[in-house]
Amino acid sequence: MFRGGWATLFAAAVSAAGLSLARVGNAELVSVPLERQAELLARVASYDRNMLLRAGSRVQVLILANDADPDSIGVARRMEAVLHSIPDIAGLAHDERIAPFSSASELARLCRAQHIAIVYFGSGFARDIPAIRQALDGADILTVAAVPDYVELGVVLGFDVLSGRPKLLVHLAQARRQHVDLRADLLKLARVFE
Amino acid sequence: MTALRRLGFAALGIAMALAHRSVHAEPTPELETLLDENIVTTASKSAETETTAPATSSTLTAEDMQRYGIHTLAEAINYLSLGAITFDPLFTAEIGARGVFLKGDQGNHFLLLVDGHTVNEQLAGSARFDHGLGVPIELIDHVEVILGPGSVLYGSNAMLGVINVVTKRAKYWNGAHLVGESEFGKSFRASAGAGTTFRLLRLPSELTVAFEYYRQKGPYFTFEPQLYGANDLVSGMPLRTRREGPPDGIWGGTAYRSYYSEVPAGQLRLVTGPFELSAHASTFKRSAPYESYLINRDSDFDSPDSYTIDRSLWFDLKHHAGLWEGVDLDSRVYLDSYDSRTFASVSRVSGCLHPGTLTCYKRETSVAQWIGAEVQATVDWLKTGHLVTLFGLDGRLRKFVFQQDVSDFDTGRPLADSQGIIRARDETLGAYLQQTWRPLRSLSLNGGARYDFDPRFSPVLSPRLAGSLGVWKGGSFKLVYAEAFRAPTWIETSLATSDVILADPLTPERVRSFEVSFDQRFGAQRLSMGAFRSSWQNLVELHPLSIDELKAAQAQGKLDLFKSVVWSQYQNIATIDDFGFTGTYEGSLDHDALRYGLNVTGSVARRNDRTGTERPIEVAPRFFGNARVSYDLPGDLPTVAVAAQFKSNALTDRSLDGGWPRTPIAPGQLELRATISGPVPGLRMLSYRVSADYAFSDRTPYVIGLHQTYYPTNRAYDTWYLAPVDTFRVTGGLQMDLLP
Repeated sequence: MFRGGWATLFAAAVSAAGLSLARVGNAELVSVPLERQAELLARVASYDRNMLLRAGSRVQVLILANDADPDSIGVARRMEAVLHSIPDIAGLAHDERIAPFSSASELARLCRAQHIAIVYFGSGFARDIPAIRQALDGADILTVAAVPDYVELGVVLGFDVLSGRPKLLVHLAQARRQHVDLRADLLKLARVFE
Repeated sequence: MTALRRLGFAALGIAMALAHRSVHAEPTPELETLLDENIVTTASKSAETETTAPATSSTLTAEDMQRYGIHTLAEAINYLSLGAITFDPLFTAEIGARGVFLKGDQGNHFLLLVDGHTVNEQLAGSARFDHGLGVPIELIDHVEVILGPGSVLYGSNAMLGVINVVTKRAKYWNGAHLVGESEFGKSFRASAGAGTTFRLLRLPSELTVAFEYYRQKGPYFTFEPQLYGANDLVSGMPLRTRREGPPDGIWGGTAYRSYYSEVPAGQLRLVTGPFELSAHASTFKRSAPYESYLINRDSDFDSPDSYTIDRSLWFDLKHHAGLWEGVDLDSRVYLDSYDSRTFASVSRVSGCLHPGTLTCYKRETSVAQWIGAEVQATVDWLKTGHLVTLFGLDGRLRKFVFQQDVSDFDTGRPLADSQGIIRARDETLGAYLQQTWRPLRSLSLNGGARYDFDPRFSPVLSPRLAGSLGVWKGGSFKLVYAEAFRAPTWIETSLATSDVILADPLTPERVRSFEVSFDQRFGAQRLSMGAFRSSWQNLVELHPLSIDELKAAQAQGKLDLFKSVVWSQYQNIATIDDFGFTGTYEGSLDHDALRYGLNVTGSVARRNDRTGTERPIEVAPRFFGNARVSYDLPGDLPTVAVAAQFKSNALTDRSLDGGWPRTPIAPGQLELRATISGPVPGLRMLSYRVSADYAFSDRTPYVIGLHQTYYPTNRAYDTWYLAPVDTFRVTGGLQMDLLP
């Protein structure tokens, strides 16, 4: 029979509060499962008229993780594993790797130097996105966010759950600035931010 | 050419045009398939696709609720969901699923959540699925209806399933929103809400808040006169069924004053960084226009003073933390307060029994307050999402008050001491563990169990095993075995009154369920079929004692035969065996402009009691479902939609214990609803919605009035009467969205 209920309950509550408060962070919401995000990314990339030109024979995907955020590292590693199991992106073979984020300018340099076609942001970048957006202005790259809130901040593509279903989010102005030319029939399916 | 042939050609032409547009419709079917599959979070407490979720589920979206003119959760369930069904006995919506419907249950076997917070009150386990839920329909983003046992993660009450009402996030409900809606001549509803995003303490934050006021009066039903057929046993006079006039022994007439309800409610959600605070307050006052053995028992006909009022207040604070890579911790604390008072004005002398009092005013008071904490850890062992363990603890401290009182209606003077008094506190604790494993991309396995401790019973274990396998493109099989329980309520374990004997030790109700389903998606089309079998045990019922049982109870000193002629006792008395099928077809064409869906459920459920008598289940239809079709006309033209819900005929709630020589059967029901909605031309901020309902049957399966059971010696009782249906309703409303 259950005994000592008060003690157990409050011990649990206090432990929870203690553990939680010890790691207060932004806890940015990844609402669409990563498996579904990867499948959507692979399909949506084919609606970018510049993808084939940008990627060449293989799509290079850079997955960014915020080293200071355990959530971010976890999201990045899971996305890497999931993408690895996806046969193709926009009909092309692909490679993906995780990189830590240091600065927006360094990211822009890395993308140019390594012919990156897609940058995927894990969680933990809310404060960095505005600077990254500026750094990538004029670059030829598709940026994709695990966290839907990043799209409003300037990431080109994101995913959210709306009315219980996955919804594509597109920042159209930033897409143009990064030479991402998404077809109109795709935009009809997306929630578009300007 | 006949009109019918012209209609046929027109339909063919439209179909060909749509098919042509569909063939030329871009995006690829693969992308449509991915975007059309629902994401559910309730079945395993994590976001996953409907295909891999360890249960049969349906998602009722805000879009569909808007386009099909849905006003309440109960309507959404009836018109849009798979496998679940509600009835409206003109008091509080009752819910059942897949052939199991427990009369007078008030949601006790379905766990209802709002944003993950359990709203079933803890004294009697009830939940409100109608306006009494107190969440404005415009604030709901979607509703996840999870069928089958769900105690593995949620504990008690999740026997028929779990329903989670998910409210909108501020960024998709930005600005201010005003709604005015009226069911012409019967009810009106006004709501005001707002959503906004901002930064608080440098953390991204959002706030959604909504208030609603709903009031209904009427329609005025006319009930056929029911003769008591004998004099009042105590007074020797004709039975008095109303306060006014001389006693005449007749129940019935037009109820002008007693069918009403009123709900003021508010709902708030504040998210700041990793914290999320939800709060809810509501009051639900309602009165039924009739009496039965479940509602307004013995009360005067058309008395506005016979009513029930519930009040609910709760807070839920959640926090999410990523502790280490692959290790997350979610914690929450919650505080709930619920009370309910039921009043009945009783003028019949045999129901009042206090000389010199014209009308007794009976009052039943229920109070439940509870505070709880839940801690849940998730460990992603491989850091790939393929092998994830979730474990948690959920503890509650609960306090209960219950009592029955009677006073003089005119003077307010108490006529007797309080009875049925329950004053109790307890602590409950649930510990759960769930392991998910995805060894292959197409294979998903889920196993888990929850152990629940309650001081009144031995601990209860609720396991679940589930697997889904993708067999080919868009096709998948799913197998689920699950168990669930319901802890007997404090009313059931502890109530003792002048006609209810204190229960002997009760054990929790149990259900075991096995189901298999197949799901095929092709583009925006989806076909799903499933079969299920469930076995219920230890069902608790208020059992009228037989002569032998009365003698035994008297010998044990448990009752005084001179205080009442009818004695009952809560007992673990029944079992149910249930099997059947479910089917769904849904999809869209023409860039989602044309949408349609069909849900059907067929089942055979048999109830057994200790005597070995096997019977069908009362009220539950064997076949039910819904169908819908809508079309979005281009531009500012409206969306037109038609929805239907149907139920086969069923036994009434007194068919088996009423004793009638001819079994009362309630007719089947087909209810149609046509809705037109869209923006007001020239006023983008204003939109409208108008719907008309027609019900083909004017009766529900609830026996009402004096004639609840058959009396062989009283010919007046040869006939029973069923609760009426408001067969035609027209509702219209305007919504103003003021964007920032």
